[in-house]
Amino acid sequence: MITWIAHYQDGTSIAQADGFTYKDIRRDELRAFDLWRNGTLALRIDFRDDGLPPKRLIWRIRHRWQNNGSQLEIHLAGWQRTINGCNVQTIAYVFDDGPILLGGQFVEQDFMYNIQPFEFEKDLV
Amino acid sequence: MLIFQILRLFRSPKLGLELLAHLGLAMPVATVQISRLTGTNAAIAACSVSSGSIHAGTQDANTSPSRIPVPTSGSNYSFWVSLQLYCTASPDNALNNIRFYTDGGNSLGTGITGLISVASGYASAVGTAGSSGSLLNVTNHPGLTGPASNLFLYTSGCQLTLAGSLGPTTGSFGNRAVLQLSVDTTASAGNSGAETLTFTWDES
Repeated sequence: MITWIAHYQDGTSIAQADGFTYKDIRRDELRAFDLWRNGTLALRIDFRDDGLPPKRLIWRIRHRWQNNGSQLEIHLAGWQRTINGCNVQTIAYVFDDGPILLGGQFVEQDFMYNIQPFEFEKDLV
Repeated sequence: MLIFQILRLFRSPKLGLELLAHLGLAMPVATVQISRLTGTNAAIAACSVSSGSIHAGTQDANTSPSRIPVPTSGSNYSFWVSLQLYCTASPDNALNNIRFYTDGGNSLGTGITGLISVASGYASAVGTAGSSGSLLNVTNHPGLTGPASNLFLYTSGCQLTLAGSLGPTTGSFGNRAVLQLSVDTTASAGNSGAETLTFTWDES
């Protein structure tokens, strides 16, 4: 089981395991975003100011169902920013059994494709 | 007192970026099943499916297959099958970005092809049971968003998008994927090969 924790610049945090939802995250106050797998830190994304346009959080659980009985859940966690009018994003694809693949906008695996942003993610361009 | 202090250490939100394990309730993901829709337009029945057959049975329920006769000329069709996602345990926020695809290879056998279209509304399959379903097109199925195309055009590199989403609730969501088999005179009697179908969706 993978769950997330969002860390804010003021030192506070909220955790999915405490009942918070992705929509509750104050996206413009992030310091870091974690994925925890069975009590162990699996991934940490740094959202501190690096002098470039701000990173905007992307997180999803991507499900794949096949009629041959195969089911897969992949956590997508990463960020998007706009630099000189160019859309730049990095997404980590985190699997329950351990592997983490780093992808971008390029379709390299059949599960690597863009998300559909929600209204509260209107900062994603 | 010592046990109380340890619990405070784990639960204090002020620890920020420490690497201590966070104790809390594990949050289950949303539960989604693939539903096969049958019945009359006024009384749609849905059953969860993990496999099934496509045949020439009335309204094409996933039971008691009625074989599609190999025609002596032209083509015979299965009754079309309507598939839709159904959420039984709600997401925290939403489900969206629904896609469908195949492996791109037709393993059904000689003389058998697959058709697919997308439907924004349900229409029960029509035709003559034990003979042929009506061709899947916008005339026979008024809920289709466009004409049917080759099922195997949709692969992991060219996925079929099913519009629609679901908020923090349960129920059916997304457009329906409607499938049909076409059998021509070169087909052989017997069961066709099986095909692997894939649905994907995102949860937040």
